[in-house]
Amino acid sequence: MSGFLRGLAVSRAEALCILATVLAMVALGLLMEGDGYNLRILTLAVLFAGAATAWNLVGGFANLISMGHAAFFGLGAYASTLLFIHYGLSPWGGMLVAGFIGVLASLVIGIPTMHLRGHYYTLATLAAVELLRILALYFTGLTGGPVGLSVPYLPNASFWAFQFEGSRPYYFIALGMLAVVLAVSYGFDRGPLGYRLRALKNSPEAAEASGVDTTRAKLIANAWSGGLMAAFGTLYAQFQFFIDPDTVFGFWTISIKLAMMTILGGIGLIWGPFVGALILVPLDEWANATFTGNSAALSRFIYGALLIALILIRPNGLLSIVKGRLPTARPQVAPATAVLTTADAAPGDPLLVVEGLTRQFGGLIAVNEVSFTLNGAEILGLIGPNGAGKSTTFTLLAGLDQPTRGSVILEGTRLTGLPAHAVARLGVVKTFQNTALFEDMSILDNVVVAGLLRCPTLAQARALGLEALELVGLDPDLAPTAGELNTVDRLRLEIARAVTTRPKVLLLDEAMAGLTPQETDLALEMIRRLRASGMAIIVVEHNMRAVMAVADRIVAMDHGVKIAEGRPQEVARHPKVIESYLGGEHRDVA
Amino acid sequence: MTHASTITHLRAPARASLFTRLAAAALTTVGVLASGAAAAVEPVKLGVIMPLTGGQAPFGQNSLRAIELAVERINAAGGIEGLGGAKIELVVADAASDPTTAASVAQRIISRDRVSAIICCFASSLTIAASEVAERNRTPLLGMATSDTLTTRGFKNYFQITTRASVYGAAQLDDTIALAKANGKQIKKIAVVYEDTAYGQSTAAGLLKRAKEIGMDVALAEAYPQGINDVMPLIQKIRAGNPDVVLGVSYFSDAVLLVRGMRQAGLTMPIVGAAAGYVIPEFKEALGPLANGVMSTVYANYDHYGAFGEAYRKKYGTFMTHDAFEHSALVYVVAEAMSKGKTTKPAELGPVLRTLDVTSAPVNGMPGGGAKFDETGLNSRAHPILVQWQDGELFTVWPKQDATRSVIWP
Amino acid sequence: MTEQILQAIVNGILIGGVYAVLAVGLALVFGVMEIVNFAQSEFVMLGMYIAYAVFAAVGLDPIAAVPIVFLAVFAFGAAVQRLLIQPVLRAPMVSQIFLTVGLSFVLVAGAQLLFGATFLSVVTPYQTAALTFGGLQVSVPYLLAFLASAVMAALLWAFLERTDMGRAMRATSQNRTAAQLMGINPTRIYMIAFGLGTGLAGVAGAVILPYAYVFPTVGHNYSLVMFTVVTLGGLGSVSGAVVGGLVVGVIHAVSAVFLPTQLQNVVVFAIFLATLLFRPSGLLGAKA
Repeated sequence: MSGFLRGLAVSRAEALCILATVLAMVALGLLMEGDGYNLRILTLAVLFAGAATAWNLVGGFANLISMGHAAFFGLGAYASTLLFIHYGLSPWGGMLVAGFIGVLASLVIGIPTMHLRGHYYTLATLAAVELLRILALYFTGLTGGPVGLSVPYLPNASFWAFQFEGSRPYYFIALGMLAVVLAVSYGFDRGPLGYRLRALKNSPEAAEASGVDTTRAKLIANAWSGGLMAAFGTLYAQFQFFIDPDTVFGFWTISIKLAMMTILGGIGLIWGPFVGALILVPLDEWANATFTGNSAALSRFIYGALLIALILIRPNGLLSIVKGRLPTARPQVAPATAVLTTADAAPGDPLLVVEGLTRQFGGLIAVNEVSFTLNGAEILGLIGPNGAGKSTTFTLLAGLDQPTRGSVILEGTRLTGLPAHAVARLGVVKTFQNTALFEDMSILDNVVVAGLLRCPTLAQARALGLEALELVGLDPDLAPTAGELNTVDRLRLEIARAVTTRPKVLLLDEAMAGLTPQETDLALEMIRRLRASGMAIIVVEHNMRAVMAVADRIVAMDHGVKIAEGRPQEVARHPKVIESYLGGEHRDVA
Repeated sequence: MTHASTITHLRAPARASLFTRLAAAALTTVGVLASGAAAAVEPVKLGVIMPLTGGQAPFGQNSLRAIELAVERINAAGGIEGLGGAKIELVVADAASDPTTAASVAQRIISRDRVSAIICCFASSLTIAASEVAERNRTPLLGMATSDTLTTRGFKNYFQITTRASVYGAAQLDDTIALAKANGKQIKKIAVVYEDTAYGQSTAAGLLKRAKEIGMDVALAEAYPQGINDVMPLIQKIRAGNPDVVLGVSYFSDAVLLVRGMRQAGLTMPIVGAAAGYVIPEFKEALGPLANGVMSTVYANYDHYGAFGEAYRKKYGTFMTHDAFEHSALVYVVAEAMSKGKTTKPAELGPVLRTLDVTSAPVNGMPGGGAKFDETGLNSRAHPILVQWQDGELFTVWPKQDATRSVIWP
Repeated sequence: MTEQILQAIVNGILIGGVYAVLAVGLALVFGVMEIVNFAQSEFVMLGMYIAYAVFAAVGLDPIAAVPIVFLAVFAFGAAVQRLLIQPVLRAPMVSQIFLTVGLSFVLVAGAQLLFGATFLSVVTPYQTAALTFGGLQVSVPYLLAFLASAVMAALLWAFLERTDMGRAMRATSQNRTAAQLMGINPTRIYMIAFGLGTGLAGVAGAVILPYAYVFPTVGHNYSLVMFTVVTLGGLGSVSGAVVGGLVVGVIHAVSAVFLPTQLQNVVVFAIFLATLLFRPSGLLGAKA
């Protein structure tokens, strides 16, 4: 039992809470009057809890605040109802078809909008669902238009036709479906995808650079969410017996409602939407029943005021109170058999060939026709004054930006044009200047995200990550989250994360900035150790002493152009280099 | 303390769920509006579901006032005769202009408040959603929404005091042609503009079908989005079509925008609306003298309401709109059914309603002289009428037997 | 046909001017504090009610009442910012959005409690007046609304360009930290920006009252237009919102010449989505 739970990463205490909740919900369903009002409201609450949980997969886990999830809900409601009316397809089959359509729609809407961030994504989804609503109103031949569709009322209950006496069967169907979405949520939260999505939420760039295909992760979340949402649309249509475009594609009736429940309960938390829905739906009903007639507006007023108050008091949702209080399951770690590097180029052989690399921003040429070669197990220093184009070069090498011209070739494979995660997969990984850690995640989880690039299971990724942490000398239990580390340890973690992806080429961007001389020596020692394990390394550094000490060769840049290349001593004596640095001093002073 | 609360208080401890406790807490304030002052006979409970908040609230609130007045008058006149003078007690619920809520509150007033019948809900979508619940709970639900769907579902507990939207839409055209003819004018070409709501679509569908049957030249048949901000594009299309008459099916603000816009553009052809926005006091208030001459098809008009209509005007200062009248007339219909059938049980009221022919005041204010429900639940007596704004008031101008003034054909 | 299109363009520009003022406040608030105010359209409703109340009380024309409406909504908006928005400025984006959604509920319900659910409107002497230029007609209520909007936009421009407070606001919207380093007190800036943003929405409400009804949920009719306009113009760009307003107005009007009126928003949303996908920084593309 405990082994099974640990496999799901569920602690014993959490399992007990879940069991108690399930029992309570089942008991409520059995004890309440079958054709009564309370059970109907509870059914509605569970239905919306399920739909909100599906929303949470995107809005919470993937941090894409969609205001357009009524699109999937409405498609699911219409698809199943139309199939039932016109082709006699059982709504159970309709639900499957709806799920499929939901997944399809999530891709159609998702693929073009995935690159949008924050408010832009939110507004795009808003427009998308509005478009669907207008089309549903316009194509009356297909949808019935504004008049809506009524599900034919059969005099006798029928499992096949999804029609039952009273609310109880609907309640248990809704509960079952809620269990499915919650299970998917657990899979998201505790599985590899959850790690990727959390990383993405913290820093999309760092996630990409650590080998996370962020677009893919978001699309997967969107597809699950869209498919499940459509299934709940089907359930809604069967339970209400009536749908119209303004309701099921509605901004206020569905999109806003689902997001609101999630936020109230706790966005990004597995049980957040459930808690939110179970509070909000009855609250709404209570206000509705309490203030009616002329004072009906008072119920909306109180509802809105309570929402404001709750957000002011707990902006992260009610469940954020218990977050972190429950003991978590001890993570499984595979036996340490991982080997950190995958580089197989013999020392001295060309590994990474950069040719004519150019990046132009409007009139400014940040990197201009830069060419150099990195050999196997070599440490190459990239130096130059501020604005020389070193960091831009790194960004281009790691695939985080694309060059205007030129190419980067790794062991015969062209990297140019590939997204950062693909470049990372092929073996070129960059650390970030000033570090870009996944601040809210634990030290171990930071490296686990990177480990997932090479390992199919979390246990293996952990083993790999622990090995990398050991290599940089960072204790995984030093702090609860990466955000609480000091500068030196942040640099260590940044390097450990990059190393965990088992790179062939490691790009260190000012990894020694702000270190004391002793700390710098330790860092240099570490870089040499990494090279000894087989990696080739390029370091961008301001600290000339450090670069000179560690690099086998040096490339010097100024104004985006390569001005010198060679052994450290040669480059240090190169007149252009001296001039650029002296000029640089002058520039800095001026 | 009302009777409703007593019942639920007794039931509450049996199932100590969160909901029952919430419900119990809410009870003291449940919308029981009639004063059942120490009546010897148990009051009967009548459910009312109206959109009291949200987009349709203006109409729902308006109807509620008329319903309350009807109950007040029935109770003051000695209650329901056949039930020993039982008073009517209203259980009012807000559909919040959302079908999901309409269905939920229908279940609430049926199973918790045990209402005998429900009057509901102004808008078609709300009425459809609530009647699904009422039908399954064998509780009569009476309304004035007109979407054809309502009476084509084979429901046994749904009753509609108005005609179907398709019939109504056809009448809008037929009556306009007939009225024009009676005034020596011929309608050769029409323009139809309608809102893309259930009401607009189903009415316009009936209208356009009839136009096709009689070979009428339709210069323009255009739906426009609900809550349109700018009707100038529509006005331009009307101008391009140059019809003899403009037939509009508009909910509210668009009706005024349309009339103003047409007059601005110098378009002087007659406008015949389809109730809703064209026949509310606000229409006249917004347009002033410009309202005069505008006609509309409607289900009922206040020049036929008699003393009941007068009482409303005295109490609220404006005339009673047709939807408010129809809803409140249904209160009288239910009262008569209870009185005749001597029952308050929902399941028994349905059959009584089906055999009833109510012709007493004020229900006889309906064109056709009352309410008699057929197999589908439709009022077989009802027929639409045409009204016209004259001197800031609405007068029935067609058909002849209902007319209180003759038309001033623009 | 040409005449119809010309007429549509004229109407589109007139209504677009109003859309511009409707949306410019939303853009300003987003630019300065990166909040999308989902209750913005309720401030339009608020402006309409205040203009109506002034009209009902002293018979002042809504256009003439613009200064009163602006000051009243400005004060209310600034108070809302201080009490409700300020505490969530550092909260996640969703919390901010839903705080404004809650605010929207409260304002709509509050309006119904105060004014009832009925439709209210004003009768002006010029409600059916139109000017004719050749075959083109210009609706006087539209023209007045447009002119009032243009004056408002010009005043806003002068404020942002010519006053210290305006310059501080622009600095804050360009770079928050730098603005703070320059000694600009962001709390004060935020409060005034939010007041301005909502005040402008209120003004838009006042200028459309001569040809529109007011009722509690009237704002919903304008919210999507507002979002479309600011996105087209580039979130946070004030000049973009003005251009966006005119563009949406003209698209609305001209597309209705060729398409069913029911689909006028389809064209707008298609352009809206295309803008987001291909030029996420807006039509003007000032800020990437």
